[in-house]
Amino acid sequence: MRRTPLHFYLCLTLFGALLLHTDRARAEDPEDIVVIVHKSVAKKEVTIAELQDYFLKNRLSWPDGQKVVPINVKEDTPLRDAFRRRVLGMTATQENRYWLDRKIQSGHKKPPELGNTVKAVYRIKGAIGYTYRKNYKEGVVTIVFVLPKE
Amino acid sequence: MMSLTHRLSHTRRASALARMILAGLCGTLITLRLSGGSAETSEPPEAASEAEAIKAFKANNQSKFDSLETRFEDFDGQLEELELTLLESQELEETDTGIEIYGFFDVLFLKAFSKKGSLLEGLAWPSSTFILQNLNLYFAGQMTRTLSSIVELRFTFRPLGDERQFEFSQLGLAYDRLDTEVDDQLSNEHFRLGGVVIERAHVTWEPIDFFNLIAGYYLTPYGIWNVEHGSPVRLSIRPPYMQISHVVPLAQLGVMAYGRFFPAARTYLDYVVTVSNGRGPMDTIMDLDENKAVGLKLKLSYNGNDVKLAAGGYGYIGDYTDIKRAVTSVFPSFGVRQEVTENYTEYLGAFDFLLRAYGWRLQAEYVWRLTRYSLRPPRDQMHGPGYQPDYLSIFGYGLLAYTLPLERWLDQKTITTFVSLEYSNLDETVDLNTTLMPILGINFKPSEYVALKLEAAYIHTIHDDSFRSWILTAQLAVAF
Repeated sequence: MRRTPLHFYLCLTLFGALLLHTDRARAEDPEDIVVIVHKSVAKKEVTIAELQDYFLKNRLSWPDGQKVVPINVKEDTPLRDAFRRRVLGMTATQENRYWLDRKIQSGHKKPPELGNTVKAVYRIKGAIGYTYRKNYKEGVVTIVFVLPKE
Repeated sequence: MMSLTHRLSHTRRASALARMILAGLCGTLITLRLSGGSAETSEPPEAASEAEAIKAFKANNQSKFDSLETRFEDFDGQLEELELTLLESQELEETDTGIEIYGFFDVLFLKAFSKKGSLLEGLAWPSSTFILQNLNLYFAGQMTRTLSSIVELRFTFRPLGDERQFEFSQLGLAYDRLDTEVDDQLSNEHFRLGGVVIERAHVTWEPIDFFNLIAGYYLTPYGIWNVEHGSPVRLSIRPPYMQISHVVPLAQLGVMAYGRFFPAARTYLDYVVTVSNGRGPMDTIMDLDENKAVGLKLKLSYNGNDVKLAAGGYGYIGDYTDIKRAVTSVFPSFGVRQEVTENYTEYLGAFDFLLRAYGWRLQAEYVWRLTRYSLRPPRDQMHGPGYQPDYLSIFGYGLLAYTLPLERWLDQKTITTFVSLEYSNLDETVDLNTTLMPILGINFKPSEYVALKLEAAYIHTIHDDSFRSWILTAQLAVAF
């Protein structure tokens, strides 16, 4: 039986390492939009459907019972537009209409808007927000979701 | 709280002022740059010192500009910090958010065309008219993280023009229309009084998704349009006749427990339990019997990105009791007797269905009510002699709407066309009450705050020709 040459294994290992590196690099793109929660939130992963529920106030509490406090970034920023489009599936006008209707129907107000969502999520119990990965500070808040690339 | 809000508004004003100064300085710099550029081409030798002066002035301005920019950034930072502190203190239940006031109003233009000789020719108003139908103000407060309140008041010019009685010479009755005009004796100014309707006023406690409580005067959670309340929200101009005729009480005074479960992704199972005074001649003041009305709503919804589907049902049982009180004796002791003059039990079932997909909206509501008397009143004059029998009321409508795909041309403005067919039978023992009404309409939303609507409705009775009328209505509904 013919033995597989050593350089084949070497090439395979290098290729694998390259693939892993590319994958890791992709996973840690600083322009990734990451969803972050306050340290008190026990839930470590959310789905995009749950995100919609939290940010549209269709779900008002975390599974452990504490209140969800969704925090948006300021209007007219690329981050807000991207989140609204990719998570809520809405345009700015549609989102405004949604909150106007909710306010008239049930008195529910739209989530607050802040520039520094990392700071806000860090300070407010039960908070959930989003930011670019480059703004994320490990140990301060927890990442529960990374928005897939468009 | 007040001082924090004050500081926020002060910081915002300062921030706006800094922006204005920056804009002014930018304008000055641009002007100087332009004038400097033209000066270079035709600069006489003696102007060199002037150029130096301008250069110094520009440098000075630049440093002022830079310092203002830094201050502006500081203001932004401070503002952000104050906003965060405010939010944080609200979320930590340290303070309330104050009262938020908002609302909506609508103006109608209406013209009815009734068939000559039909009953509606006499009942409907002959002239076209503008009507201010709704002016609703909301006062919403968030007292703590889980406790909020909402009060919705409807202001109206009524009861001006309320027709108490048609002339009926055979019974010797004269025409009676209410005039609310009063005279200010100090200024001699005459003006007409209006009215205020409390649409709802309740406190809400929302501790967790599956159990929340409301206490006060709340909207009955039945159907679609009674929950999606308000003319800017509703697609059509008129609410369905089931709402106008109050076949289900639109609001109830009591308590309501509600909650939501999540059986699957994007799927909600909602329940609502209502306990209230039910219906009565003065149910918003007090209940005249011990039988509290109870209701249960169950609703299953799927909230997909492209397809949204919901189906629900509300059941209600309640007693209506009217009483009179009479003095039975004065001597030797004063005595008062209470006597029940009317009593019936209502059994109600209301069902709703809503499908929204790819710009289409299909919705239907159906209400069934059985009214069973234990103490019957004399029958309404219009419905003949004798006593009111038990009766069934049936109402229903179906609506199909389509939002035209005109985003390319209209951006975020939407045009939605709709057709609906409404069936109403308030009392199946009276033929006159069975009507059908097809409606054709269009709803244009130029912005999220404004809705312009136009609709044509043809109302007619099924059993005879007594009711036949076209009603053309236009509405401007504005949220603020």
